[in-house]
Order: sequence, then C-alpha cells, then structure tokens
Amino acid sequence: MKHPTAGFIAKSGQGGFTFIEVMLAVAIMALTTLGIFRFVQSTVRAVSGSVDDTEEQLAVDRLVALVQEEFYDLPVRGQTNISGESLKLNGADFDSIEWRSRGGPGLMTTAATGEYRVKLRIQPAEKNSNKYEIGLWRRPALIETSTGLVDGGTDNDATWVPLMQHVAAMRLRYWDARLGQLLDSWRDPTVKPAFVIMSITLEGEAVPYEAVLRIPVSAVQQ
Amino acid sequence: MRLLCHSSKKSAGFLLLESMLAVTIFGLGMIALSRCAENLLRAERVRREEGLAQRVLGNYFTQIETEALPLSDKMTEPLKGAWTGMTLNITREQLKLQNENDQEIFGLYKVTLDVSWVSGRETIHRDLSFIFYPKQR
Repeated sequence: MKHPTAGFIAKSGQGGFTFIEVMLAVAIMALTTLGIFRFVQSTVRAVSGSVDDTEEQLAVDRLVALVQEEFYDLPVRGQTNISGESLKLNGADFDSIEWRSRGGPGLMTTAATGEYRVKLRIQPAEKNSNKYEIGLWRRPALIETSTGLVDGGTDNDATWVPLMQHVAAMRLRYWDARLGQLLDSWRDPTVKPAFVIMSITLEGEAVPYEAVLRIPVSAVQQ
Repeated sequence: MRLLCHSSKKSAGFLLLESMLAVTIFGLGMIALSRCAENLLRAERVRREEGLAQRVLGNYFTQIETEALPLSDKMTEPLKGAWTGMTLNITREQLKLQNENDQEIFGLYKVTLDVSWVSGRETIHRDLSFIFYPKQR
C-alpha cells in the first residue's frame, strides 16, 4: 500500500524544503537578527550616553544650586567674609572658596545650632587616588554651650561632605565691582565679590561647565 | 491524513504576495522601532540643551544685574565652551514709565536675553526678559 503523503511529495516535488532552502532561510534569519541586535545595541548605547551627559549636567546644576543657596544664606553681619584661593596642579585648576555658614540642610547639618567655616574644594576621592571629587569641608566655628554660643572647633573636628564625583578641575573667579574685573583669588575680608564664576570640568570633558553664582546685595554692601 | 495534506495541496510555499506582505509588515515594524529610538535620543538631547540654555540665561542675568556686563541696545554673542553652537542676542529697550506724580522715570530698561541654537533641523529659541535699573553713577 502506498503511503498517503508519498504521492503528494513525489508529485509536486516541493512537499518540504530542501537543505539549501533551509540553510538560506536560517542565514537570512541570522543576518536579520544580527542587524536588529546591532541596531538595538547602538540605540541603547546612544541613549545611555545621552542620559549620562544629562545626569552629569544635572549633578553640576544641583551642586551650583546648593552653593548658591549657601551664598543667599550668608550671615549678614559679623565675620561673614569670603575668601578664595587659586591653585594650579599639572595645568588643572584646584581652586577653593571658604565662607561662614549657619549650617542647615545645604550643609547636611540640620541638627547643628552653631556656625561653621565651610570650604568648597576639590580633592582626591581616596588617598593617593587620581580620581577627584568636589565637596564641602566643614569646620565648627561657633559651638553652642550651656552659656551660649562660643568660638571653638579645630581642624580635627572638621568633616568632609562629598558632593560630586568624577571631576577633573574646578576654577573659581571673583568679580570685584570696585575694580570692574574678575580676580583669580579673593583675600579682602572687608568686602565680598558681587558674584563668583564657578567652572567645573568633568572627567573626560574638554570644556568646563560654567555657572555664575550671585552674592546677595545685602551681603555685599556692608 | 486529509488535514495534513490540505494546506500543501493548495500552496506548497508562500505566494509572492504573502511574502511581500510579511516583509512590508516587518519593515513597518523596523521603521516604528527606529522612530521610537530617534525620538528617545531627541528628547534627551533637547533636555540637555534646555538645561544649558537655562544656565546661560541665568549666568548672563546675574552679570547684567551686577553691571559686570556693559550693555548696548543690541548685542549678539556666539557662545563658547559648553555652549558652542548657541547664540545669545541681548536687546535693551528704554522704558517710558511714570511714577505716582506722573513724572517720567528715567533709567529703566527692559532687557531681553534670547538664546538660540539649531537642534536637529529646527532652530530653538529661549528668552528671558527683565527690568533693569542701573545704578546712577
């Protein structure tokens, strides 16, 4: 007895695919899959790079906002001077700026009642590391005691608050309204700059990101 | 047995039309996918550019408010550094306003900062206007 399908296969000659056809189909499928994979991979990479760029920019914006908030909250009277040092190492800027702060959430000292000397600076993320981070170095300046606020605190009491990683340089310039020009450092304790230009260069970036930080008029005109 | 042979009896392979239809559907899917990815990238780029534009407007606003930047009635400045590709137009217009005694107030200006850049195929503008009252020296 004849097999039911045998006649059909023999008759039409195309009841199944030949080996070559199957191979060709598999090859086309593989090429298509590879193409889609490459497309998805490059898209994911591009999106990831773009998101990283945006995140870096937002990180700088957050840092700028935090420092700006500190400047707006400078004690109006008393020892409220700002000082800034300029330092260059291997062609990169490692500037720092110091001011007096009442503490608060911007300084991560919500429980503090006294005052701090605060320095925004760039330093190695770890000892002997070539990775740098920007942060706040805070040293108690006025400490609350049972008899009230007294001067106190040493460098040993100072703590470091890291704010931003993967930075290569930080440059600070100060606008002197009396001279009408930008200065690289600020040493005059009697007056404050009208604004500070902060330039942050991130790791792997060629150009810095700049922000102009306003010193409030009430703090400048004493 | 009948079922097994049913489809192969009529059409042993796909018709050209069927294949074309399949390829078209696949192609449309790929186009949709690429459009989706393109829009995602564009959204990220615009978000970044908007952040840069806001920053540059803020930077110039502070410099004008503190009178560190001398103003003229119309200025155009191609921006550098992180803002390369953007152009800033500054316009200053004297305001004619009167006080409560109907006397003219002098020295008040409306300053408009307009930053523009080309994003993809379109030019985007972002502006900031404020009233500026320079110190009388």
